[in-house]
Amino acid sequence: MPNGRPGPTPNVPDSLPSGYTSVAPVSGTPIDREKLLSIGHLRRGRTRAKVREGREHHETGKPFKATTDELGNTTTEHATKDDRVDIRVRVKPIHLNFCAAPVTIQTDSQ
Amino acid sequence: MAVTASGIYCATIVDVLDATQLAIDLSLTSHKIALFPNSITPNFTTDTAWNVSPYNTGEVTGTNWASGGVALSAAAAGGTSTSPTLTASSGTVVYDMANVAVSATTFSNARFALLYADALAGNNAILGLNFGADYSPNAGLFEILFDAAGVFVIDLTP
Repeated sequence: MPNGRPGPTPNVPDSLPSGYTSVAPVSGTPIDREKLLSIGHLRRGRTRAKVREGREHHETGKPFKATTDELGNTTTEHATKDDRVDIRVRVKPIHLNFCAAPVTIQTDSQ
Repeated sequence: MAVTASGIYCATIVDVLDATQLAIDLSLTSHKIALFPNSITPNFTTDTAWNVSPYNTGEVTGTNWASGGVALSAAAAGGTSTSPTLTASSGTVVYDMANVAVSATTFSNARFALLYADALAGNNAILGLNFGADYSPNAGLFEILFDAAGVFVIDLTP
């Protein structure tokens, strides 16, 4: 054992790298330790708001920040005196189906 | 208690098709769009009209979006009409209009849009649109973009 103590996972030291602090005891569950020590752990889902920043005109325009949320709706904040905020909501169409009752055709076989 | 879906109001459709013979003309530009927060719970089966529960409390209003909403005649870009249309195509009925775009609006926490017949005495509810989240423009452009398929599509030949 590198630090002289047996850890829950073989070949993984039972301590954090220098510079890191743990909110949980180092003797926590192995899963917590793996999260803390891992590099690519996703803390949030892959679906996030998309942010686009720029100027309304490339040299003279006021800066803006457009945030498109996971619903596809966009909030655009402008760096103007009145802190203008534009909203663009995209709504899905309402689809309705008329479901007719099945028709039964009877024939007289006599 | 929350907005969960978009839909068309059943009670209005019943009144159009039964002996009431409610005269809803979907091509009118006098219909209005009123906004509501997520504190209401739309019921597309039983709700009847604007200013009748649950649309009689909490309406979202503000600068350039008065109580009662904005008429379609002035709801498109530049204060022009959204020009609603009702057409038949390939066994379907399509209700469509230009996007809503109202300038210099300020209001808070709009979650739901109610389209209703302002020209009728009953202010009958036509359809409701769920935005999915709360939106708050500030002295800005408020747009509702409709899908290329239309605002609603009724497939009469499924």
